Amino acid sequence: MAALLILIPVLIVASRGDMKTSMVITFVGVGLFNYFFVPPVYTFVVSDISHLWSFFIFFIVAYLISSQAKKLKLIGEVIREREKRVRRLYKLSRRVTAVSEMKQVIKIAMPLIAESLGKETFFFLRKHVDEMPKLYAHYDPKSPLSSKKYDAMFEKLEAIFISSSEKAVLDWCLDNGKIAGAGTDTFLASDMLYIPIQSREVVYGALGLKIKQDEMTTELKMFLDSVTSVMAVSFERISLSEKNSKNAITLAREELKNALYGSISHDLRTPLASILGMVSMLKTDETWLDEKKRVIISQVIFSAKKMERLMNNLLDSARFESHKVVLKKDWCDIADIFSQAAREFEDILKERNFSIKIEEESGIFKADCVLIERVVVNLLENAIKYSQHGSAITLGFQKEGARCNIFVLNEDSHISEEDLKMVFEKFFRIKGISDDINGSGLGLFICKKIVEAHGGTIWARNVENSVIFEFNVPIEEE
Amino acid sequence: MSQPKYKILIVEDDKQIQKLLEVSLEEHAFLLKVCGTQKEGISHMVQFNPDLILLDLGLPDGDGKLFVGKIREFSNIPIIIVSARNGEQEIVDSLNLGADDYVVKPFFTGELVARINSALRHVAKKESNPLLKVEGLELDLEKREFRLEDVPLHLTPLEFSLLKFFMQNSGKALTHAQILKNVWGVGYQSDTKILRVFVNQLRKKIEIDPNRPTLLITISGVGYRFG
Repeated sequence: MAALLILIPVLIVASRGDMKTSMVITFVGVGLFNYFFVPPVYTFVVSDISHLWSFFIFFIVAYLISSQAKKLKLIGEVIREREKRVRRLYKLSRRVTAVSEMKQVIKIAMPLIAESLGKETFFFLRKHVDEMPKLYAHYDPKSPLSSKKYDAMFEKLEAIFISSSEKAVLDWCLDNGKIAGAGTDTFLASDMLYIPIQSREVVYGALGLKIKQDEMTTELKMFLDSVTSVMAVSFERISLSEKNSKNAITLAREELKNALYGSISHDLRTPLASILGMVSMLKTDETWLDEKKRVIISQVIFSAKKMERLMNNLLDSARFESHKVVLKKDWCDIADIFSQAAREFEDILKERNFSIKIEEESGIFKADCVLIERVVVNLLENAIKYSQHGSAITLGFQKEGARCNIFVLNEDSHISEEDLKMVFEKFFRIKGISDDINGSGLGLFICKKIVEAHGGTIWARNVENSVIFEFNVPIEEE
Repeated sequence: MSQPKYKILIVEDDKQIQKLLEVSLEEHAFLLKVCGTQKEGISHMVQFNPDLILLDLGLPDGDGKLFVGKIREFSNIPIIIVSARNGEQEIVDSLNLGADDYVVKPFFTGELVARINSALRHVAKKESNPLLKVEGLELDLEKREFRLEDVPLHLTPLEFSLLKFFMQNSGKALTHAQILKNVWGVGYQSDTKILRVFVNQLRKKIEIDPNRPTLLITISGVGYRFG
């Protein structure tokens, strides 16, 4: 009976899961029992062999109980830890949903990760794929400051040194969108564990954790997976909403600009239209016109037209420069474009040796016909301006591979190599040209913008005694 | 004055342009009524009963294109649009809605008067005439034959329909969509490539210099005008 009594303290101690103490207690208990109860009493001598068996059984019972209890305790601990992490994760996901800035997400997530793991944590941000990742935040749970002031994690980052080998691991992690570093199969010799924060194709950055190779458990990996995916989802949400609002702003700005250009051009053009209209009426009225008045009226018309051209060029260059040229692509016939352009200068072209050279069966290609015509008109206008009576001007078209080439050849002229590089610049005008040639220095600039919007190139060159302005646009197949 | 004066309704809000139109058109013996809003325009349609409307698209009380649509609900009166430069899309929309022609600001009065006369002529000759003639080109609907300077033209059936459509609408600004719909049929409205190809072919047959057409004229970003 008394033999069973010693089991009580053994059971109590063993159930706490401490193997060593329970063994000691069992040993002491068995010793005391032997000394006081087992005959011969008051000695440690055992006369009956069956008592030795019962001692042995005591040890086995104590061992079994304490080992089971230890296991249970461990499981309990794991469960408690897991629950704690789940709670943290829940807290994290709940808090980040209300946040509208990436920085805020980091501010919430970093201390949570660092504190729950007790490890130094880093965040590396990469805004663009081609950009170098930058250390964006650092949180050390052991430093006393961090626990009070969370903004500290974005400060004094320059003082933290990241070795080039660590950077290489980080780069690998970001480029491949895979976890790397200590505790993984890739670059396990590195000081830190790097976990990419990514959603679909976008890698926003990486989390760096200072852990050792053997500290990595499945449990920890699961936790980190969950945290990083929560972060990635909120990053994606934030970047999408930023994009949205940016789009809305651009749209509103575009609209305002278009309205402004529309009203400015309308308000400038209307009075000019009435000036030109009225003066042209005067010109047709022969009854009161003498030679002097005719000259005056011609000059008024000339100046008004010049002003109109200048205004159009200014408005257009402002339009093409400040926002993307919106193309209205359709099928164009180069023969049409050339003849339209030639029509604009019908009278003056009679004084030149003008020709059109289309070396293709069909000059049909897809582009914004109105804008391409604009380019041809501007180039032709320049050719006329810088040419003499009787010299040749040729408009040409040919297909070259996947592009169509359009050129304006101007015989008997030359542009210095230095000026050739500059002619497409805004407000550039070739020096030494008389003032009779009135230009705004915007025509070629507009040409360049239009051609570039089509994905083409424009250039000028001297060939023998001629200047060729040439541009190409890609041929689009349907 | 043997024939009655044509009446023109001018819907334009800019005072100077109004004056300009008044002065220049009165000189050409038109009877005019000028107003600055669409609302007035509609009421003048009934009271003044004009033969033609000159319409500015930038009016204070709403989109001028809608005005075209409103007029077309009850009248086939010729409408000529007065539009700003760079307004190709607006012009195309108005033409598709039923406007007959357009002029771009700043315009010369000579050009404007030519457009007006052409539009008025077009109404007058709508009564089917079996023999259409534009410059040296003749369409004999009875013989189903085109003659250029009295020499019969060899045209494919599609070329024939296309040229016939141009002839019947000579002097009018025609949009790509209008031509395609009428010649090729509904569903072809946006197939401008085929139209470019056929116009190119047609020019080779009817123009003296197809590179510098004088009959079948392109209107950039809008369509074509014939004659």
